[in-house]
Amino acid sequence: MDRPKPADETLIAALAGNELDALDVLYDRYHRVAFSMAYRVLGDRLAAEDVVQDAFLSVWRQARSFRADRGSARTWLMAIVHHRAIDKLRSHANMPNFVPLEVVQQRESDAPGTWAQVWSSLSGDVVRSALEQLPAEQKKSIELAFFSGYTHVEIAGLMGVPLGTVKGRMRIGLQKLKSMLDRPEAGVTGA
Amino acid sequence: MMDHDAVVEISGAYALDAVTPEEASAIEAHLASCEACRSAIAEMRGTVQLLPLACEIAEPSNDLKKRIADYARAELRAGGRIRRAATMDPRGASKLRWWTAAAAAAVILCGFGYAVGAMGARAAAEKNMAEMKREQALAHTTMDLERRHTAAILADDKVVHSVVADIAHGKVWEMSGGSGEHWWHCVLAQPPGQRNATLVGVVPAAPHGMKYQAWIIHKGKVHRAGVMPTGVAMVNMPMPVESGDVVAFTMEPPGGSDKPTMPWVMQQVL
Repeated sequence: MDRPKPADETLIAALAGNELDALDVLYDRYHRVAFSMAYRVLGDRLAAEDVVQDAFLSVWRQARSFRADRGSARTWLMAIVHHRAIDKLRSHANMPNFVPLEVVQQRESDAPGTWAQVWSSLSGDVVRSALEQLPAEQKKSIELAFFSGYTHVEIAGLMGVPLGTVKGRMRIGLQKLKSMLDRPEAGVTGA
Repeated sequence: MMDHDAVVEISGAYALDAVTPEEASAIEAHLASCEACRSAIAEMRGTVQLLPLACEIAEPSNDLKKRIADYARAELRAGGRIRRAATMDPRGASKLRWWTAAAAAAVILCGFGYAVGAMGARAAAEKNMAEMKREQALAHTTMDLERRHTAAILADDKVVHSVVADIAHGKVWEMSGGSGEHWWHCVLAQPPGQRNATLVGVVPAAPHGMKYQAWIIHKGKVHRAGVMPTGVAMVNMPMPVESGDVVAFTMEPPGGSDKPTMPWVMQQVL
């Protein structure tokens, strides 16, 4: 009989005890989505691998400070990958970094629970499809912020629209996205 | 503090981390007392956390997993606390911690010396090892318990040998450069019969806002070889190296540069 797969939080606890085999399991579980995001942000395989390496090692080094009540291990890992990738991108572009490189702390609002379950049940196709169904300006505003690390002020400048318009596009775009992903069978057609 | 309507308006940007630190502080001050905004932003953040799934799937190189595991194991063998020590300001009170990190490098380098004894480096390595142990013994008088524990691990020849076991009897090139507290020393090791190589050393914290970046110069063309992490580093070169190539380092912005933008810190003709 197959042994049950250890939960992410169990792996983090093992890492806190310097059981490095847990790092291999965590890598097997998340390296693909981590690398895909870093590569999407940076567009450079070597740089993306640097970010992923750095993120997994950060999780190991900071495993003792992990708090399950603040968010899932997956969210934490992906937040590190995202912030490091954006920092790297902004450094290349000579733009100020908004998040310190050293540590990406877990935030209170990175709530575990519902979204962790959604994450594991959704496929990439469904999320891509939902994003595609947003009005182009909303999609672009969200992508420029998340994947390119621009602030709302910079996006307003890039798109030549007032600041309030960009804020509205981001807010409404995320609300629509949530609504589609809450009921993927109703609003999203996964490819 | 922002008023409620302003926070609602900017909530999407905040959930996407697309606000300035000043704006974030003002928003968070409001969130402390507004359950409705906290809840709305938590939902948006939940949605933002799904965005990575929208990326087209891409695969890293096959050796990335091993690279991460090797790095973690090397760091663990070196005491686990080395990286943290080396990333601290090497001036003043943390000098001893930096010395401990340097000791790690030296011991690992000595390990490489053992591994390539056939190349004549054994005697020098043994001498270095003995000197390092003497210095460690002296340092014990002022080290705290954590550092003493680290030094004990580093002095374990078995650990050193296990680190270098897979490249024993291959080629090793030693390099050193920098100045003052930014001086550092590393080795590039190539297993027998292979063109892949691994760089090993303890990299000191570069001056504020900078990182050391490695380059391979092959037939006159400069190739990126990765940004060196601070602390114990064991980095596989991203491309094969051969006799006549040059491995060099510059200080670059933390994200690395596409081309060297600063003078060489050190360089070694292979």
